[in-house]
Amino acid sequence: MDWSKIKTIFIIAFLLLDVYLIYEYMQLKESQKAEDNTQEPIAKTLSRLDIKYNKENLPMNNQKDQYLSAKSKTFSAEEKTALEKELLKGQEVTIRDGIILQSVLKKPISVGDDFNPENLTDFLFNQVYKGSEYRFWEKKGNTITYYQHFGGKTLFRNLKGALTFNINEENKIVSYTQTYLENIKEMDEKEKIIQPLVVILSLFTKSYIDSDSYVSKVELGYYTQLDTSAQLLAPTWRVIVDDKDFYVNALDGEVIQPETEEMKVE
Amino acid sequence: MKYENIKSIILTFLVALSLLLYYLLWTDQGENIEAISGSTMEQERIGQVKEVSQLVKPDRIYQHINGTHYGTISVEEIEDIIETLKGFSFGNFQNISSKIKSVSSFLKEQNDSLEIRFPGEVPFSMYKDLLNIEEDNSFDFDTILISYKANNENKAVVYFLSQTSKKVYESTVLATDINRLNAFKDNISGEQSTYLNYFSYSPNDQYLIYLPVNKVEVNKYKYFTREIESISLKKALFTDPSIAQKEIYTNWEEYTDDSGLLRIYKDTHIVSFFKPSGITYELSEKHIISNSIDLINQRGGWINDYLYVGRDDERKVTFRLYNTNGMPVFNLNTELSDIRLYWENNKAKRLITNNLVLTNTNTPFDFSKEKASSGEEVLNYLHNKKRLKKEKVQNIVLGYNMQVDSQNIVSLQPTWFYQYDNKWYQLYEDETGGKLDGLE
Repeated sequence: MDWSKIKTIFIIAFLLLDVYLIYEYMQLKESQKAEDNTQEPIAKTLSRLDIKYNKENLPMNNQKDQYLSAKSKTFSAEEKTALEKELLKGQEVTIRDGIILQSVLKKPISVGDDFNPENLTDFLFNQVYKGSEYRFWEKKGNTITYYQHFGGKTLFRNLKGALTFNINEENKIVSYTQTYLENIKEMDEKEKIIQPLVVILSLFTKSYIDSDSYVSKVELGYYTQLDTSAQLLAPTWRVIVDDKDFYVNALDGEVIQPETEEMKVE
Repeated sequence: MKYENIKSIILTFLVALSLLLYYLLWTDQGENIEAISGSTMEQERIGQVKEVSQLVKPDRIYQHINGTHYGTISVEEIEDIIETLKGFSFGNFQNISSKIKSVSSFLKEQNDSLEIRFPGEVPFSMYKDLLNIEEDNSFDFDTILISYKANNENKAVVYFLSQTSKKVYESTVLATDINRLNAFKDNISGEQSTYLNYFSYSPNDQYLIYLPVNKVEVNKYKYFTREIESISLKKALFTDPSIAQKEIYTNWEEYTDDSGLLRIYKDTHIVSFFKPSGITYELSEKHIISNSIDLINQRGGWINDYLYVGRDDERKVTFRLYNTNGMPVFNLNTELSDIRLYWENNKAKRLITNNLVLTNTNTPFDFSKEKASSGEEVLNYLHNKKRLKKEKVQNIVLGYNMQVDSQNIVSLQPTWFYQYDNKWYQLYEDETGGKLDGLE
C-alpha cells in the first residue's frame, strides 16, 4: 500500500472527526452560556410582573457561603462576679438558666423619643459583654432588640444571640437581657448561594408575594429554625417585601414562612 | 517529497487537535455528571419498607354462633379471613346511621355473624383498595360485621361500623361469597383452635366490648434487643446528614441542622425528630394515614411489627407495637411501644419512635405461661373503682406491659388495659402486693 495514500485517507478521516468534535464542543459551550445568562431574563420577568426593587440595595457580591455552627455561652458564677467588677460596673447582674444574663442598670440611659442606634453604641461597646458583636434589629413597643452578627452578617432572630433592652415610660433604658453564641465556626466548604433576584422570583412563584410588590431590602445573614443551645445556622436571605419579612435559605431555596414558624423545641 | 512533508504535518496537527477536543469535551461533561450524582443522596435504610396492608389491619375476630361468642387474635386466622374478603363483591353502600339508636345494642343483636375489629378508625376510601372494592365513600370504620345469613335475593349483609364516631354503613355481598367463610366456622372448636369463649359487655350505648369467659392462658415474653446506632438514625432522618451537629447531654444525644432536631434519650430509648418546616414535602394528595406510612418508609423504614391504632383530631397518627402472638404492647409511662407522627397544615412536624430492635422474636427466652384474669374479674375490678364513669369506657383489652431493663432486655408481661376517655390505663396498677398485673 502507498504510504502517501494512507496519509491522505487519514487526513480526511481526522478532518471529519475534528469537524464533528468542534461542533459538539460548540454545542456544549452554547448550553453552558445559556445557563449563565439566566440572570438577565429574571430581571426582565420581574419587571414584567411589576415587582419593583432597588437595584443598589441588592447585594450582588455574595457568591458563596457556608453553614455556621455555634453554641450558647454559659455564664459561670465566677464569671458573673468578675464581669460585675469590671465591664458591667453599675449594673445588677443575674444569670438565668446558665445562659441568660439579666442586668438592671443603676443609672438608666435616656434614649429619646426617636431612637437612634448610634446613641447607644458607646454604651454597647464599653458596658455590655461582647457588645460590639451585636447589631440593631428593631424597636418595638418598649423593647429594643439587637442580634449578634458574624462576619458582618446578622444571625437573624436568634434567641440565643440576642440583646434586648427594656425602656420605661420616660424613654430610659432600665434593664436588658442578653444571650451569647460562642464558638461560631464556619462549616464545610463554601457553596454557591442563590442570588437575590432568583430569591425574589421564587417568592413570587411560590405565591408568597403578589405581582406589583415592592422589595425594599434584601440582606444576607444566618438563620436557624430551631431554638436549641447548640445550633447549626444556614446562610439565609432576609427579603423585606412591603414591610413583611421573608427568610429564604440561600443554599436550598426553602422559604421559611414569617410568623408561622415555631421555635419551641419541646 | 516536500508535498508529503506538509501532509505529515497536517495529519499530526489534526490528530493533536482531535485529542485536545476530546479532552475538553470529556472534562466539561465530567463536571456535570458529578454535580448530578451529588444531588441525589439516598436516605439510610434501617428497617423495612411496608405496605398499607401490612400496617392497617384488624387485630381481633369474633364469631357469633348460636348465641355464643368465639374470639381470636391469631395473626394467621385474621390474615386468612382478610384474604377471603378480598374476593367478595361488595356493593350498595348505604348510610343507615340515622336508623341506629345505639351502636352497641345494634352490634349485640347480630347473631350468626363474623365480626372484624380494627384497633383504630380506618378511612373507607383507603381500605377499599385493599379489599378490591370499587365503590367509593368517605366514612371511617373500626368494625366490619358480616352476616352468615343470606336473604331471599341470595345476598348477605355486611356492615361497616364505627363505634368511635357512631356510624353504620350497610353493604351487600353475594351469598356465594358468604359460603367461602363457612370454613372458618369450623375453626372455633377443636384441639388446634385459637378461639376462646367471650361474653359481651356494653359500658354505654356506643361501645360493645367482648371479654373472655374464663381465665386466659398467655405466654410472657423476653427479648434481646439491639440499639439502632444514632449515626444511622441521623442518616435516615436528615436530608443532608453530613452537616448535622452532634451534642451530648446528660440524658440525651442531640443532632441539629438549621431546620431539624433529633434527640435520642439514653434511658428511655425514645427517639424524637422535630422539624417545624415539615419532615418531608413530597407527599401526594393521599390520606394522612397513608402519608404517615410513606413518610416512615422514606425515613428509615419499619422495625418490628406495628399496626395503625388511631389518629386524634387529624393531627396525631399512632402505630403500636404488636407481639408475634397478635397482642398489643403498651408502655404507659413513656409510650415506648408507639410510633407517633404529628401533623400540622399537611406537614409532619414531629416523629416520635424508639431505637430498639427486638432481635429474637422467633426464639424468645423465658417463655413461661401465665394466667390472666377472666373478663368477669376484670369487670369486678373496674366496677369497684368508684370514680370510673361507665360512659367513658371505650375498650378493654389484654395486652403486654413492656419494660426495658438496664441490659436492654425487653420483657412483655401480660396485663389488662382499658381505654377511658381516649386514654389507655392499666388495670390493677394501684394495687400493691397480692395480685400483680391481673395475674394469679
